[in-house]
Amino acid sequence: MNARSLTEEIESHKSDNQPSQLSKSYKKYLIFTLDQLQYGFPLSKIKEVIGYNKITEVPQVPSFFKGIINLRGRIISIVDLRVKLGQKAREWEPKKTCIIITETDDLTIGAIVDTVDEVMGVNENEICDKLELSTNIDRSFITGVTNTGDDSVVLFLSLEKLFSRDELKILSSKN
Amino acid sequence: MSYKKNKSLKTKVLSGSFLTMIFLLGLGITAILALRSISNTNEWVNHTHEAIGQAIRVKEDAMNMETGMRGFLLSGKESFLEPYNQGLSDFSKAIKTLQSKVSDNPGQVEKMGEVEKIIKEWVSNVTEPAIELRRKIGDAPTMNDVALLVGKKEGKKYFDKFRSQIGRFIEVEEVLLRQREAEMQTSSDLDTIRKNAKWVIHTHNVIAEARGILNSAIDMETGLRGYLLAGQEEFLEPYRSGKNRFDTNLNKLQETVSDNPPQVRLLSQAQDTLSEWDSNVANKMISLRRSIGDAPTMDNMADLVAEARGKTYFDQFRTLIDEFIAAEEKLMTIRQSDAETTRMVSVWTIVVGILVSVCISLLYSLRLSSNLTGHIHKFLHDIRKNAEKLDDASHDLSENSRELSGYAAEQASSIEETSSSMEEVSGIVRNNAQLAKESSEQSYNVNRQMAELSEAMSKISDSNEQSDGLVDIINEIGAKTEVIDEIVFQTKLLSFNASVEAERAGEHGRGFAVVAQEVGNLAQMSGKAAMEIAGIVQNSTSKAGQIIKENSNRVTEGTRIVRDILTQSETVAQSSSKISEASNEQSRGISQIGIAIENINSATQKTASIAEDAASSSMTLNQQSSNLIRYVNEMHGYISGRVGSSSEQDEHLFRTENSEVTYLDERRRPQPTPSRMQARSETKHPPLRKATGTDDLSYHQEEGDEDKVWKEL
Repeated sequence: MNARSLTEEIESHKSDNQPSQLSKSYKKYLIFTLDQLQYGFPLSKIKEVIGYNKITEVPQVPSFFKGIINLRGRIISIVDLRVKLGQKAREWEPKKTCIIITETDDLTIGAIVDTVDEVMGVNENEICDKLELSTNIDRSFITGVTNTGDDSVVLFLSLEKLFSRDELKILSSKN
Repeated sequence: MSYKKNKSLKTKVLSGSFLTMIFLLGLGITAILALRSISNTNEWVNHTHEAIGQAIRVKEDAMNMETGMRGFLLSGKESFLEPYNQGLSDFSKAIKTLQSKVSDNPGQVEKMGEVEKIIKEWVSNVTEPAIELRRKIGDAPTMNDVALLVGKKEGKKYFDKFRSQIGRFIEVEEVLLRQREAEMQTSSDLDTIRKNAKWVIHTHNVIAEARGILNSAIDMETGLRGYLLAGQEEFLEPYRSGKNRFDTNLNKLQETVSDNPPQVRLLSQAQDTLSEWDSNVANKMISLRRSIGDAPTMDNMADLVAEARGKTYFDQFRTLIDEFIAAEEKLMTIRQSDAETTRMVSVWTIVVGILVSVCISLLYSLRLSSNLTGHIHKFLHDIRKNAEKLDDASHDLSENSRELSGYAAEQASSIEETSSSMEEVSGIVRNNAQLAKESSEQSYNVNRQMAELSEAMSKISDSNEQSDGLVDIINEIGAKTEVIDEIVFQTKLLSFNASVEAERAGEHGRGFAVVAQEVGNLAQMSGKAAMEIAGIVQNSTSKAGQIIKENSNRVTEGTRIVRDILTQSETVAQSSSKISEASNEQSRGISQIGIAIENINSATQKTASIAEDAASSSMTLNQQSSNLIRYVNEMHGYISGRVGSSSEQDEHLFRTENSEVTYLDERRRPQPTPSRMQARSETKHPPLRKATGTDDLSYHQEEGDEDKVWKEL
């Protein structure tokens, strides 16, 4: 795609998506993959996406807590979402494995994901927030599910709700 | 015989022969001596005969003279004097001859001297004056009648005829005598000599008797003439006695020469002539003279004659001659008896000597021959045995050489076949050599081509290595793709972060968000492309690696195969050259074999010719041995003294042996004709060796048969 077409694209987007984007129900999400399942974070909560960085392990922490990194002078705690979501841990895969750095309130966490796929805009009505699942399991960290149209779904996660208070403390203290 | 046992056969035979020869020599000498003595005696007898004949001739001549003289006296014609003159000239010659003949006997010579003297005296005292007187008288008239009668020459005519007849007779007898004498000279046989001597004596006797007859006739004539002249009866005495003697002598002579009819005829003619003369002339004259009596005119003459002087002389002469002849005859009788005695003695000596020598020789020969023949028989027996063996051997040899000849011929044909086969083999070998050479060349070609192939293989190997380089390049591309991937990843991250920044910018960042999204899309597309490239690279790398590996393997394999082929082709080339060499060697060997076969061939041909020669030689040997057997048999027969019969017998033996041989030959013949077989069986019938009788029929048959067989052979 050359520069001219890109310019045209941008213009079309400006004109086409104007009304929808402007509506309150339209939100952008960063879609990522964990063990062949796609998840999404609201783009507003994301500070940065980085590739591999040297992770310094921290002793006496839960297993999902991978360590800390130094990102341009800021110390950021890194968690392994796979482990946190009860999945099997995985070796670092170059050019695929990414760290998504989120910023919620004053808490900044880096989450290791398999791959970062895309930025997707989703309308509010397209998100189903009521899941017909067993109630005795805490699944408050899943804020909603949307259908991507090709027989697959994207789970929207909320990191504040994913970690407990203690966990958050640990994370924050680390920061 | 024991004292002779140690002497050699030669000595024995020679001694036997010498003994006989010595006897024969003695006999021969005796016979020669006897013959010489007989011959001498015969010569003497002849000599005596000749002397007697000569004496008779002397007498004849004398009487011729007398009768001639008396005829002249009577007739007065000169022609009557012819016998006188003839007698006169012959007389002295005859006397001389006789004297020389009896010169060995002086008494006789003396007697002859006396005779000559008497006749000379008679001639000078009686005849010459009488003839003179008669010539003077001429034709006296008183004696005319007598003279006329005598002058008619009738008596003379008769007497001439008679003389010639007797002379012819004597001539014939003399010729005979000469012939017989010559025969006697040449003959050596005692009996023939005796016979011839007899004949000679006989002829002498005949001649003497003939002369006696002539003398008698002349006596008659001269007596008659004397009577005619003298007229005295006593003058007729010779006439009468002559007539008596004539008849008796003639009859005797006719008997003596009765074996010779022409002579008998001649004698009878002479008798006829004389008897005619007697009746026609003499009797007439005598009667006339008696009637005349003592005529006056012829007185002188008659007186002269009557004086009987001539008669005295002549009687003396006659007595002397008769004495001489009687002496000679006596001598001859003695000599004849001598001759007979000598002959008898020699005959007896020869007969006895022959008998003695025959007896001694016979005895000696018997002992010698019995001694010799025993040994010789033994030798001959051995020789015959050996000869028979030789015969058998030569037959065998003949058979063998014939077989050998056949084998040689077979061999020759086999050799020729071999030779032709060898030529074929030689051709094959040459072909082989050619093929091997070609194959060698081809294998060299293959070698060269294989070397080229090997080079090509190494080139392929090189290019394979170059392909490795290609893979490296592809791998590099792959590596570069990873770089692109990295860039894509970073670009993606960058686009996300841009999106994040655009979100933060809110409304202002809306365009930026689009750019960020497009960048993200581009990055994604780049990533996808890079991933595809990576896949392709990987694929091509793996494929190239595989191909290279396969190529390498194939090249290695090919190289190995090429190397193998190279070694094999080298081996093939070597083998081919070896084959070629071997073929050449073989060819040489074959040519040598060919030469050898040629040699064998010539050798075989030589063998064949030698075999043929041997066959002919053995045939000759066979013949020779057969001959030897025959000779031995002949010798055996000869020694046994059965020359005729034994030779036939031995011939029979020889023939049968030969026919046996031919029978052997014949048995080989596939189909003998029946007649032949019959003949064979006939010939087989007589016993082989003990055949004593000579079977002429079978012998001839065999002979014919054998001739046939020999011809066939």
